[in-house]
Amino acid sequence: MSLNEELHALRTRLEARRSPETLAVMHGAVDELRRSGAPARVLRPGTPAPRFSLPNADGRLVDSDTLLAAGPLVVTFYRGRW
Amino acid sequence: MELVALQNALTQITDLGATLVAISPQRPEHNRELIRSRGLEFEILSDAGNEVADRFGLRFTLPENLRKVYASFPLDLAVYNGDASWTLPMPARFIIDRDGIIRYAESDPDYTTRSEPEHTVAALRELRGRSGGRHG
Repeated sequence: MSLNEELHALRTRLEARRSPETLAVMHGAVDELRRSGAPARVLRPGTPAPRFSLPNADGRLVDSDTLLAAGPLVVTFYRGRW
Repeated sequence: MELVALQNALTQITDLGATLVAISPQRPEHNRELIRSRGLEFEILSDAGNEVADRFGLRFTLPENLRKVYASFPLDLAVYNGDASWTLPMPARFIIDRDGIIRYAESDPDYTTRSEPEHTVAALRELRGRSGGRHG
């Protein structure tokens, strides 16, 4: 099963527990974000990536220049485990 | 789930000479717990206030009605993330080449849709081909 098939199955399971009012708010927020033009503001291929220096899970700073010295960098933005 | 899928693709990513990192607004202790419980072998960096996410064009502020819904779960993002900004990043994945240029970007405002790791691996493979055999 692909990641998005798994996510879809999880979404179906979780949404079965939510009230219609809650679901309306959650879906409405996604629709609003889409309508707001937010996706068009995401940096596109061909543009320079912002440099960053952020703490890892142990609090040690990791910076993008150091990582890029070793090769290409895959960066994934993740909302949280909640 | 997404991070576990990336963990499953990690060997393919590193075999192509690349490094994988995740960036999340949650506090380092939550990232530590996630790494431990899921057996992740890549770094999760803590982006307080989604400042870096904002520079990538991903930060958005949760509307008031959604904050109330999250609070009812219960989920207090201000405590969880250690900041009161009530912002989140749109889920997204980028590949940055050695010169610091973005070569691949995939994102979706719908948090239940994420980039397939195999797309990322295919894009890395193509990038490696284009770099004319240069290491990495």
